[in-house]
Parts: sequence; C-alpha cells; structure tokens
Amino acid sequence: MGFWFSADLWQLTLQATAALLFVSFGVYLPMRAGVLVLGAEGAMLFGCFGAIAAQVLTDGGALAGLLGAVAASTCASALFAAVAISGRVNPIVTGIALNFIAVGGTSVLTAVLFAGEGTIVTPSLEPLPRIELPIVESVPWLGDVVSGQTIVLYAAVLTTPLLALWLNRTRGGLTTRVVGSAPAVAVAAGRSPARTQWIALVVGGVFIGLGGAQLALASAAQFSPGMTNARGFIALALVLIAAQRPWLLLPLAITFAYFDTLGFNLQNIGLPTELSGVLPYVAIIAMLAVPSIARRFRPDAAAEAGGSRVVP
Amino acid sequence: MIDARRVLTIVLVAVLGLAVVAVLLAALQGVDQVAPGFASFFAGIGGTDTALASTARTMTPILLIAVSASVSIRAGLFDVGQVGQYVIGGLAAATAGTVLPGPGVVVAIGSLLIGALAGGIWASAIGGLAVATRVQLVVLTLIANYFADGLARFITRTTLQDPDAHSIVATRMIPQDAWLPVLIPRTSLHLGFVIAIAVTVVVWAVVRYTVAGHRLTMYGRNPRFATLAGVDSRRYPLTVLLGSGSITGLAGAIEVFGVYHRFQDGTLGGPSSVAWTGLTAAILIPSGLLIMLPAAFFLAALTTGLAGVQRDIGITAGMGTLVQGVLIVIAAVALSRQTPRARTAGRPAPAPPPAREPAMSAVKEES
Repeated sequence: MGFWFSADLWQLTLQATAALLFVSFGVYLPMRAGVLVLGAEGAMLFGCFGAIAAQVLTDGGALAGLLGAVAASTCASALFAAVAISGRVNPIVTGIALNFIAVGGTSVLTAVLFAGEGTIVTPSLEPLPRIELPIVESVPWLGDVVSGQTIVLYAAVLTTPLLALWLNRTRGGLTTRVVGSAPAVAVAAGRSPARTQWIALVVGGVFIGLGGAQLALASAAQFSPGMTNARGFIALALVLIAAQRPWLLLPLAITFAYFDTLGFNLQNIGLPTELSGVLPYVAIIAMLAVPSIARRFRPDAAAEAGGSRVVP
Repeated sequence: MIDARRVLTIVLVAVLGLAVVAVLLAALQGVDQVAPGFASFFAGIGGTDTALASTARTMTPILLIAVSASVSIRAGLFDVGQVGQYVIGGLAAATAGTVLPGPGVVVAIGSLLIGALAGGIWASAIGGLAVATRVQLVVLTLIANYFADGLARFITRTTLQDPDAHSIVATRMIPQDAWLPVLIPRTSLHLGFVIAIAVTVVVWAVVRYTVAGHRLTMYGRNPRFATLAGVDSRRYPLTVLLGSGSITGLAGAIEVFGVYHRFQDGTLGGPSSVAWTGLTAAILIPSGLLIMLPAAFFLAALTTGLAGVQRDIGITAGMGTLVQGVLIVIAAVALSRQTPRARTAGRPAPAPPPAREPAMSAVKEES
C-alpha cells in the first residue's frame, strides 16, 4: 500500500482524530445553542495541562489524568460561560481573553507546581491504555490501525451518532436548537436561553477535556506550552463546515487529522519537515472551499437550503 | 476623539493591571515579595535610560498593530489575523532587504513599503477567502495566524535560509547601512518608534477629517446605509483589510529592520507574539486611535516591567500573557456594565447565533 496508506500513518491519524473530534463536539454543541466558542483552544490547553498535573499531583495514573483534563477544561468553559453568557461580554472578546489566560495561566502554573518552564515530562507519567479489539485485531491492515487505540477514540466515534440523535430526536436537543436559531421562540416556550447555553458550554467543556486528555496522554504523556497548535480553531472551522450535519464531523476530523499527521511524516519520503507547518492549513482551507465550489455547481440546491452554514 | 470615558478606561485598566500583578506576586512569591517586585517592575519600565528606551522600542509594534486592528474594528470587521500579517510583513521586508540593490536608505524605504504591502495583501487575501467560503473572518484569521507562521518557516527554510546560521531558521542579515538608525546611542530605541507615532497621527487625521475616514466609520456603524450611499459592499471590506493589514505588515518590517535585522522564525509569530498585545489594546478600546498612544505605552510597560520582575525575582514569562487575558475580561465586564441595554426582567436576550451571521459581520462596539 506504500507510504500514503501505511498502517503506521493511519494509526497516528486515528489517534489525532480522537482529540480533534472531541474538541469539535465541544465546539459544536454550544454552536447549535448559538454560542461561538472561540475559547476552545484555551480550554483544550487547560485540559492538556490538567491531564498531566492531575497525574503528577495525585499519582493516580491515566484515570486521574483523564479526570483532571475534564475538570480543568470544564472550569475553563464555565469561566467562558460566566463571562460571555452571564457577563454578556462579546463571545469573540471572551474567547480571545480565555486563550491568553490559558497560555499564560498554564505557564505560570507550570512554574508554581513544577518549578520549571516549558515542557512537563516525567517518567512516572502514564499514557492512556491501549485497547485491543477482539476480532478486528487479527485483520491484517485494520488490526494495526483500528485496534490498539485509546478508549477516547472509541468513545469519540460512538459519541458522533449519539450527539446527532440527541440533537435531532430529543426534547433537550430541540431546546438547544431552538435557543440557537430562534431565542425568542425558546423564551416564549418557557425556556431560558442563558441556561441552555450554560449547559451546552459546560457539557462542551467535558468534551474538550477528553480531547485534551487524548492529546496529552495518547502517545508520550507530556505537556508542552504550544501543544494544542490551533486545534481549537481548526475544530471551529470543522464545526462551521458541518453546520447542521453533526455526523459530518467524523469524516471531517479524519480528513484533517490525516493531513496533519502526513505533514510530520513527509520527511520519511524526503520532503522537508517544515511542510508540517503548512500542509494542515492548506488542507483546512481546501476543505472550507469545497462546499462553496459545490454550491457553484448546484445553484438551485444552495438557494433552497439557504446556504450550507445556516443553523436551522 | 479622546473622550473622558476612554481615558477613564485606560486609567482603570492600568490600576487593575497593577492590582493583578500585585495579587499574582503575593500568591506566587509571598506577600513580602510584593514591594521588591514592584520596585523591579518600575525599574524594568523606566529605571534607566536603557530600560525606558526598551519600553519605547517594545511599544513600537504594539502601537502600529493596535492602530491597524482599530481600523478594521472601526469598519466592523473582526480581523484577528494581526500575528500572520506581522510575520508575513516581516518576512517580505527581510527578503527585500537582502536582495534590493542600492544605497541603504533606498533599500530600507523600499523594504518597509514591500513589507507593508505584503501584510495588506495577506490580510485582504484571507478576507477574500472568508467571503468565498462563507466562514467568519474571525475564525479564518485565527487559523491564518498559524498558517502564516508555518508558511514563513517553510519559505525561509527551503529558499532563504542563511547557510551560516545552523541552529536557527533565519534569512541572511540585512546590510548594516539599511538598518533603521538608533535614536539614542547605546539603547535599542530606533527610528521605527517615530514612524509608528507618525503613522498613528496620520491614520487618526485621515479617519477624522477625510471622506475616506467618514466612509470607514459609516460602513462600520451601518453597512447597509453605507451601501445605499454608494460603498461597494463586496469590495470595500477587502480594501479596508488591505489598508489595516499593511499597517501591521509595516510593524513587522520595522521590527525586522530596527531590532532583528533579519527574519528569524519564532521572533515575530507564535502564541506570545507582541501582535497579540496590539490586538489586546484594540479590543480594550475599540475604534480608538490617538488613545492607542497611552494604551500601547501601558501594555509595553506591562511587558518590560514584568520582564524586570522576571529578571530580579524570577517569575515566569507567561505572567504577562495571563495578566493581559485577565485585564481583557475585567475591562470587558466593566464596560458592558456601563452600557445601558434593553433588558426585560428574567428574559436575557442572547446575542443572535453567530453561525447565522455573514462572514464579514459587523462587530458591536463595546463603548
């Protein structure tokens, strides 16, 4: 299968997919409730830091790391909700501020808790356990790629249809969508938009924390200052492409993760390493351009749907 | 232009900034370290001529970028791609500086203009992409910041790399006669500081006294009205981005010609880029222009002051970023409390869902 389809490359792709997918859920849910979570990047960085800090401080292994990541990221999301929803500050301004607080805060906390600067890595850190899937394991290529991933990946893949079903088929999902598209209607029906958005942001924070845990604990368990590397913003772009089709997040996340992983592996076939800083962004721009190119060829369908980025 | 409430905001933010620094010092280093910490803080800002010159030098890109961001915010465009424009402007100027022939003055002027133009074209191109893909400008420009950084590193490494620089990704040095002259001997303050102030005053005058400035403000206040008055709503935002992006591009070019004398990966971009600080000023005081002079000085002082504390007492470099984030939150909450808003009891009206807004949506002015 050569380089492009090698099991190693795809194994790493799925590993990166898990983190990106959960962060995308964390952005998607509040987006449907009408909040653009520009602070996802910061919340994810707090999640990564929480995963490592909780492990070192409690000595509790991978589970403590997972819980620490979720706790840290949920707190960050709650802060976002408190300022943007309760404090009524422009969510864009809040998001940018939260990203500052995350970059600076994790750096200060690293200095305070671990008396150092930059990367935290100690031998005692335990990565997330790998799970071998019973039958898939022995299938030639698939076994290497799909089996032996962390629980976060399997949870992320399972969450995709569950999230779609919840949004489209339940009362809570309906409320969320109404708050996002017609807040006045939600108020008339006796629902509080602010409360719904708060819940969406806090649950989103849990999702983002799982993504952060995957990023920090999937391969080499460590924290480094710039480790989220725009994934929170990439998730925002994916969410805007997916619009009212949550199931699209899975293929979108895999596609981006493939190019992201590819960038770091191109040196194996003799291309410069620096492509890793270019390729993912070219990929995301191309992915963003696809719907508008498709629209150009189907003017009627696009007009009917009112454009693909409109929330119902 | 400078009304009392904005001055009050600056004073409020300055006092709060000092308070946040004090609280963090007390929490991290103990209460007894607050006094010596503040001594180091003020010594870092202006204790010596060198320190004061360093604060003014730090203020230079912050001021230009604050003005740039302020121009786009005034037109209702939430462009947060200053980091990318800054990097691209710096790279273009450094490249021009190494290849342009002629005497130093000509090389410097030509390169600064090329850097400015590159920043403007980058900003405008990202804006065009936002329109074409119908993705909000704020999301696309955030991603573009990382893209610009990666692209600059890639171009530098593959085509412009200085063969003598082994451990860093950097272009060749610019010839010494093209460097921006140092204003005060034995300090780091260069001519760029004067250029930045001049640009600020010119932009203020253009916005205040010309038809172009009126058009800018009108478009930001009410794009539909501006369209009816004859502004081309498809091309105009891209023109504004070309202009505001070129101010940030100029900032990158000045930083390269005044401080680093080459483009070096990691000096202009990244999460701790000074461009974020310039953006902070523009967010704290949307649409402000002359007020950016004290605002940029204050934020530069925060940076050099904390560097002084870091040197003497040993706090982490991330503190400055943390304080900026906390300041934005405090100031934004304070400002949103000041603004009277229609509010029916028990019925908070949330902002309309952002996903429904067009890519180039207008931003509500906070003040």
